[in-house]
Amino acid sequence: MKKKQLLSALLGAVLAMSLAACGGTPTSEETPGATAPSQSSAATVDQTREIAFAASRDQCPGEQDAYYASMSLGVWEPLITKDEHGKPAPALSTEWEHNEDSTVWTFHLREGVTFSNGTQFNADIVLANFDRMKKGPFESSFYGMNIDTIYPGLISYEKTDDYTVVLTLAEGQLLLDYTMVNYGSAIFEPSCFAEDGTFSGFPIGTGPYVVTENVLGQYCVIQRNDNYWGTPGITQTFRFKVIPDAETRYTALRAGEVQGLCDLGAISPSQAAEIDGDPAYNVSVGDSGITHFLNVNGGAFPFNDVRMREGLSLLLDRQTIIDSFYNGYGIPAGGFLSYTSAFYEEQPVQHDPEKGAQLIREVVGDQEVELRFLLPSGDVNRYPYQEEAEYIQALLENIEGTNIKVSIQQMDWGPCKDEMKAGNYNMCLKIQGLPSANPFSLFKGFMHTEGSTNINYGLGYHNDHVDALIEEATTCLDADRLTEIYKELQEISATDFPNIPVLYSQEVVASSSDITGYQATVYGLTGYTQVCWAK
Amino acid sequence: MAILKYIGRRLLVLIPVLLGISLAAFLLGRIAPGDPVDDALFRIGIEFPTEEDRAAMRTELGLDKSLPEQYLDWLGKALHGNLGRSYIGNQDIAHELMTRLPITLKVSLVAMLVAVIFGVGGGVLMAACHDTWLDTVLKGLSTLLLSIPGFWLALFLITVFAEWLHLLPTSGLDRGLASLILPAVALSAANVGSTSRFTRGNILSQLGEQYIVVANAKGLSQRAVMVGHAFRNSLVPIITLIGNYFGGILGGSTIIENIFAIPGLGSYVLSAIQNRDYPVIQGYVLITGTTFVLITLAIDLLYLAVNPKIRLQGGEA
Repeated sequence: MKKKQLLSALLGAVLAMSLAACGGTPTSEETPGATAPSQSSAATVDQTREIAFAASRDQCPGEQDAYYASMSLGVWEPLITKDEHGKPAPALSTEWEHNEDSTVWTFHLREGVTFSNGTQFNADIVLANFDRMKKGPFESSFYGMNIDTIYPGLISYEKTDDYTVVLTLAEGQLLLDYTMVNYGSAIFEPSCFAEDGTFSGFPIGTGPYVVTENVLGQYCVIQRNDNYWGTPGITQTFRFKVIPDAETRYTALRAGEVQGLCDLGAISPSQAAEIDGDPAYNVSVGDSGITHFLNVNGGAFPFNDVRMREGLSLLLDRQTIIDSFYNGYGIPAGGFLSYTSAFYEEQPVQHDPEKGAQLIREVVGDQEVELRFLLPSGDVNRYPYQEEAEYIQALLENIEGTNIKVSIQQMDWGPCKDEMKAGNYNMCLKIQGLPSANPFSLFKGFMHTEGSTNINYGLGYHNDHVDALIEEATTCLDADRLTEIYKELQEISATDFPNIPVLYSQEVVASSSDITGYQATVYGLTGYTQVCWAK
Repeated sequence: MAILKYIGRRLLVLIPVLLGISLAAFLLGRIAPGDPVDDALFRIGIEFPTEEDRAAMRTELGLDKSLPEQYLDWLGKALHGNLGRSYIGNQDIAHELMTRLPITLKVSLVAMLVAVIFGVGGGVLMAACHDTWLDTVLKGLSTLLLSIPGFWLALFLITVFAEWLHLLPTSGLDRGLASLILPAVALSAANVGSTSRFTRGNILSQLGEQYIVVANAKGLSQRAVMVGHAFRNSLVPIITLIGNYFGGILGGSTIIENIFAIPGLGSYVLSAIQNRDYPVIQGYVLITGTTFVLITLAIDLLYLAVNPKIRLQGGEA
């Protein structure tokens, strides 16, 4: 009898498999959000319903992360944020000033601010946060918290009254307020810190939302802080799911499991182009601090000749690259510094294939030249680097009168970096973000002879005048002169090409039209406070 | 008693096996090009490190020591249950792995269940109806399942069952068993294909044996002969095959977990490999190696249950 049952069960299972495979067409399912948004105003719509977003990484990396949660969640706030021009703007500090040599900085704190647990924000809180920072550095998947890089040479921090804090530095830091922007001056209620400076539970901040649930690697939930000192959020609850795979993330949006895609690489350009114009979805394009560079080995033939670097730059039709491979999401880059930097100076974007080919011919002649083009595999998964590299390969291999052969190789970023440092490459596509609102470290890293990226990427760039400018910037205490130096460095980079800027990235996010108010923004204070159900 | 001795011996063998795989994992990690130091520095806010920064971090991570020293340090701590902290994220690796192991095992076991039910069931059905149109159709289907890459099938299933039909979730674990169905099917599809073909072939080869002729001569029904004799006698190689699949499923879960956003061991080690997070990779190999060896042991014990010959030989599998 048992044998009979076993066979029946197996047959049943096989039958079920066949039926599942031949399942009928659904009749009543509708694509979520396919209908037009209702006319109901946000006030009459039930905003207690949870809105779900998906991101490729944890928005709340947890207790071991320096900030516990991404700033964009609005759980915590900094002393200083930035305005739409990338310049420092008031947040928990309403104003600040420094002495003539920029060694003493005084911050005036916002009054009447309370943390989500009711604690008053004041100077003692800020000092406790500096005490915590001194226990670091602390790791983060956003920006590492390192007191030595954010506040170099910090001698002391003290309060002069309940709402004034004074920082004293060993050497003048003219752009301290730039390095303090957002993650550089995060403030938490000290009781949420463990003895070692990590978090002992959920973070407690002054922001419009509070973390109420966090399952690492899966999701986190934030709830509206009804005691928020500023304009409170509209939606009661948000859930941020972790979906690393871009295709799955996109399908989750289309299936109505999430109402929006957020954070870096939220949606690929091709996916965004697919739903752009569909009334069921909203695609928002915003600024990004990321620049795509074509790094070249300037320490070896042929890119050790500036004519070769310039020639290749002139060959590139950046707008075609953006339109063909990035679905139009990008801005042609002419200069080294991102257009989102407060110190950005626009550089001309030149496309002159004839002049470019002539310059390259002058360098390589008709000799056989083999160029090794490396692509970091992680970036290939996020950006259309393979197609872009093949386009560049075609440009170089088809220059009349030359005999250039380009081999494209994908490899992990680790070994790729080893090859670059050893000089075993000629070209490599790679992105670079803005690590801080102060671009000094970028200039020094890429353009100084002893700059770490210059060495590690095997750029082989050397220019005595550039070295002198960077060294002058190190100790410069004159804001106007510093701006001039940064301007000149950008101009030099556009003609001397330590590397070749290709395009400035743009942040693309998408949401269902079931919700409204979600826009692509670089990290700012508004976060998700404007996001709500549309119907 | 003989069985207990056998289990004891197998457990003792576990020690050199684990030492071997831990050493292999350690060496493979170190031989592979790439360096975790820059990533570790980046995560503490040093994006443009100097050589001094690198040297200090190398010392902090213990990478300045010789390879034997590094391995022995790690091994000594591992023997006390301490797998160290990850270079990236500073997590307690043992805690993290033990939190994720049940998730991966759950997905793998459901995948195994799917492989057994549909693979063995399909094989029995094919053997029972051999050389009929149903056999031909099922053989074609099994070839198709064998040929489809797992990641492609995963995306296809998500599109059909989540986006179009709204029957199952695209990802995550928040819908209980429903969350496991698509990952398990994607993980086991190729195994269903091969198991069904293997089962069919095995049963058909048994049908030509003398004891089947005797069973038929005794007047037993076709179903009784098929299930009670042919199928049972073909089980040992099938169990071996399925046991071996488990290793494949554990390894295959790396990609599938990433696609389905399942926070198991696979997705953890994938990011560790990308970041050259050596202690995590070593811990992962140790845990999955142990799991695999234990599963193999369980499979060996199953032999004893299904094959009387093995029992008669004193438990020697």
